[in-house]
Amino acid sequence: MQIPLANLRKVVVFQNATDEDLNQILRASALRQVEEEEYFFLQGDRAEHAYVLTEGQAKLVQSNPQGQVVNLRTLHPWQLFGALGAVRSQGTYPASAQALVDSSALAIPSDFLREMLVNRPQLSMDLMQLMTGYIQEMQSRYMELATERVEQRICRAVLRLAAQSAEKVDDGIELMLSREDLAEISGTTLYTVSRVLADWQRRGLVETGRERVKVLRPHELVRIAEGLP
Amino acid sequence: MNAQVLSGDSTVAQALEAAPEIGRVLISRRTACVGCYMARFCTLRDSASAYGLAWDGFMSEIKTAASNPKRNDGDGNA
Repeated sequence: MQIPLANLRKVVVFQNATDEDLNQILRASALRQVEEEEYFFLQGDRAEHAYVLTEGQAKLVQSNPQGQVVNLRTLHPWQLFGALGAVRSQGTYPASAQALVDSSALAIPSDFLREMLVNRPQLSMDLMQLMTGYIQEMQSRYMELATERVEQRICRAVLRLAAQSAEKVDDGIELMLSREDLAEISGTTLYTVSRVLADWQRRGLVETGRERVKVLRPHELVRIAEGLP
Repeated sequence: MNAQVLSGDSTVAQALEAAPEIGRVLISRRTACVGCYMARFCTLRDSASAYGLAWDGFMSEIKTAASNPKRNDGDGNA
């Protein structure tokens, strides 16, 4: 197979592998070519191979039973994907891998890779490096999703209440409102309301006091609530 | 409020009440002011500033729209 070892070593998990190990991997593997929009594997299939993209571009997508699809990541050459089977012998792919353009990938048998990992701690460490990177990325995306939505809810509640009952004062718009009330109205926790209000105060959007909120920059709150640019 | 006395200190809500026609200007200038919760607090000057609109041109358009009502309230010849 015409894949230079130097290229294979660009794969994070193989960065410290020996030439002998890389040659073994190449001998055990097959090159698969997939046309644009076709799949390397489908979500739910037995994870019989791990893949290294050698050419083209692909994406990992996950769908739920209602047919909603989430794009997990875009894959570029020399990235490893679908490696779950190397860790779990009976595992199934948690997502589908679809080629965005005509693409090729090295299909490494999961059983073969698992046996290598057992005997080569460095290879396992490098796989863990890849996995922990993914976990951190997912954690920060989860954080964004969870907090952004709740911030919008809280913001809408403040604006709605301001429109109904606030008073214009010299340097802003003041409304009587406890954090407990705001949490209840916006369907979240007191802790989250406090955190969001503290963030707004730090950014100069509001000033908070005991059972009152003064809106200093109303347009900024409208932007958050409406998702304006 | 009389449409003729609209100024930078008029709130968006006052201005829209006095001259609903200016809603067209606010929409064409891509603001979110029409129907905004803050309309009774923000002035026209606040709105121009928030959306980065040149004040003179914006106010001129507002006044033109306010003085040319196109209300559909009859044939106008009665």
